[in-house]
Amino acid sequence: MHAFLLLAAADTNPAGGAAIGQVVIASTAAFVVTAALLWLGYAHRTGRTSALRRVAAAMARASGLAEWAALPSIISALSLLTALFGMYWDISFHIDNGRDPGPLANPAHYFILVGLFGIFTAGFLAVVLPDGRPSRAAVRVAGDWYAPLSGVALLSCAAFSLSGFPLDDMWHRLFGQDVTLWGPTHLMLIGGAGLALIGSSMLVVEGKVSAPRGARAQGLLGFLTRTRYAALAGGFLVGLSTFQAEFDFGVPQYRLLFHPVLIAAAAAIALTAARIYAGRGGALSAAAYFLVIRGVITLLVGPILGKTTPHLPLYAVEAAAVEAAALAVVPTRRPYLFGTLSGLLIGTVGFAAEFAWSHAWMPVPWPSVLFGEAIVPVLVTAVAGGLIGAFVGSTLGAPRRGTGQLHVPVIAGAALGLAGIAAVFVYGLDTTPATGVRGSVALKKMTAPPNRTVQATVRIDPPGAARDADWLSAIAWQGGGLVVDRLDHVGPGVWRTTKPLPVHGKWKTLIRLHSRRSLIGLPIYLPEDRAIPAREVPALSRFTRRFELEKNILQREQKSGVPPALPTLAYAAVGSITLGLILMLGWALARFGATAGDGGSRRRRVRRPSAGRLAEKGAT
Amino acid sequence: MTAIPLAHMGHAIAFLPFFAPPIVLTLGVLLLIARDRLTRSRRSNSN
Repeated sequence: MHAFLLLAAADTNPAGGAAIGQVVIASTAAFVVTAALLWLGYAHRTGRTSALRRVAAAMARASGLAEWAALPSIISALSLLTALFGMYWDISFHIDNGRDPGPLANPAHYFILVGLFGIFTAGFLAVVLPDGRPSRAAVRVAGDWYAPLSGVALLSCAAFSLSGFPLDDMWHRLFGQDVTLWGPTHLMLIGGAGLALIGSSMLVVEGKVSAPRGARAQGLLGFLTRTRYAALAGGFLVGLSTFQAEFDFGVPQYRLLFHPVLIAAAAAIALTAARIYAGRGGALSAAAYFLVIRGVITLLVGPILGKTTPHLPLYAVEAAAVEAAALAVVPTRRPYLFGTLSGLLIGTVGFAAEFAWSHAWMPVPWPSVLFGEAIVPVLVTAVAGGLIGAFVGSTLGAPRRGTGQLHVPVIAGAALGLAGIAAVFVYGLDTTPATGVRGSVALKKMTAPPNRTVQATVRIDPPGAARDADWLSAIAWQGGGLVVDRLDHVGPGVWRTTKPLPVHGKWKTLIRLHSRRSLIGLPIYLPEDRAIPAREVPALSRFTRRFELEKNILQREQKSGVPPALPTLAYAAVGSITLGLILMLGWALARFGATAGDGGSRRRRVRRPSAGRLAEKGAT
Repeated sequence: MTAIPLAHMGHAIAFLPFFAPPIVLTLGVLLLIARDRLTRSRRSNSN
């Protein structure tokens, strides 16, 4: 016990992970909620309580879904919105204020915890609620207990996301805090929630197909349910767009080409899927839902809560391009050809539109040099995303329309798309910092101490190092706000800031230079940080410093001297869990499409795909 | 040399009540489903 207390005392270092007391509070609360859920599920299935059934029946009457789907679908929708708001608010907290003292010291964390637990709750209820076999796609758990496939998918996504919490804490303790959205365990947290939209979409489709005839939604829910397929597709677009958050806030730590690549991936996957399973106008409606949801989040986080504002892509032109592609190729008949055509349009016309939009509102506008760098990766990603979206949209649409009206393609095309996107990421993550670049800096006082701000004039040597740069900017963050400032070119090799840069207190202020594969930075001011530990880098009135690997400045919390095998093992562990979830979702979607009926259609049948053969096995 | 900070596993253990029940429940459901499918697959093969 004594040793444990000593360890706990030593572990109060906020640069390493969570404070033990706060971890215990969060864990206890979650344990109580889980125990209550477990009891409720057990009591429902053994007939000890009818409370769950009564609530589910009321929700079913209001939504027009089957009883086992109505309550979970509402819980999952509210939970996803809660987690989404928490995520953007949390990121703005960290950008403005740096590290948290503990897991419950930041109010945004409550929203994330409650949201992710809500997704788990939705999946759990969907699995325990049904009597008998709820749908053709349902899988038997044991005896006469069948779980809807959507419930299993939701449960898996939630568990994947929740497992990111303890792994994140362990990651921070092993390697130091990775102050980036793209830390492996951070990606688990947001990726699980984003992919839960697939489970939610399956839940609504499965629940609608299995609903008794005559069930009709009423009131406000009636309006929402009439547009629910487009809303879910818009939600999927929101989920896939969360990976762009560093670019949305103006603090990207990876190559700029990832911004158009991520936009193309999200647009191609979600909008192609939306047009196939939500029908005509589905892509445009999904983009409209995206703008409403993200617009509200932006207003809440920025102007209302007073934090750094998250920006957002438009997706309007991409959505119009997908609708246009549907005029040339019937999406339900030749989904992969439709996905490919949509991808080509998104990768060209969509790219151009987002380029223009980046200059209208994005914090990091795209330079013309980005076109040459990004056009091939964007095109590959968009076409690959179109293939994935075609598969997702077809499998989601099949149970509702029937395979007589909708061709369900083989999964191999989606797997090829996934491989294509993975290849683009491997290409983009391969960076080499430029060496031998120096900056001579003169700081002019703008505001006197103690809240000192300065204007920086930087002479870069060699002068050509900043030619055709993706960005040359100053950034100051984590001291109580965010300043992003593009430097003005004032002479050969000489650049100047245009906004006052804070160089006091907890602010971290630096010059950033990104050109092709190189991301380097020059610190102007970094505070002393005993928790890491790290010395102060003072803001002298004149100094010459070497540009260094930018990650070393932006992520100075990362520990050095970690045995090389350890990161490899850690990445392999996280990668294996992620691959497991992707395979599970792929199987679930394939089964979902394969177990669809023919819809009773008298229309001309399209050639039955190999998935049709799977249907005969899968339906048993 | 950097020691692997296994001592810090204390925090992960403190997190157990938070993440373990949902993960165990999910894995349990997935295992039951897999067992059922394997059993039925064996039965259909033997027939």
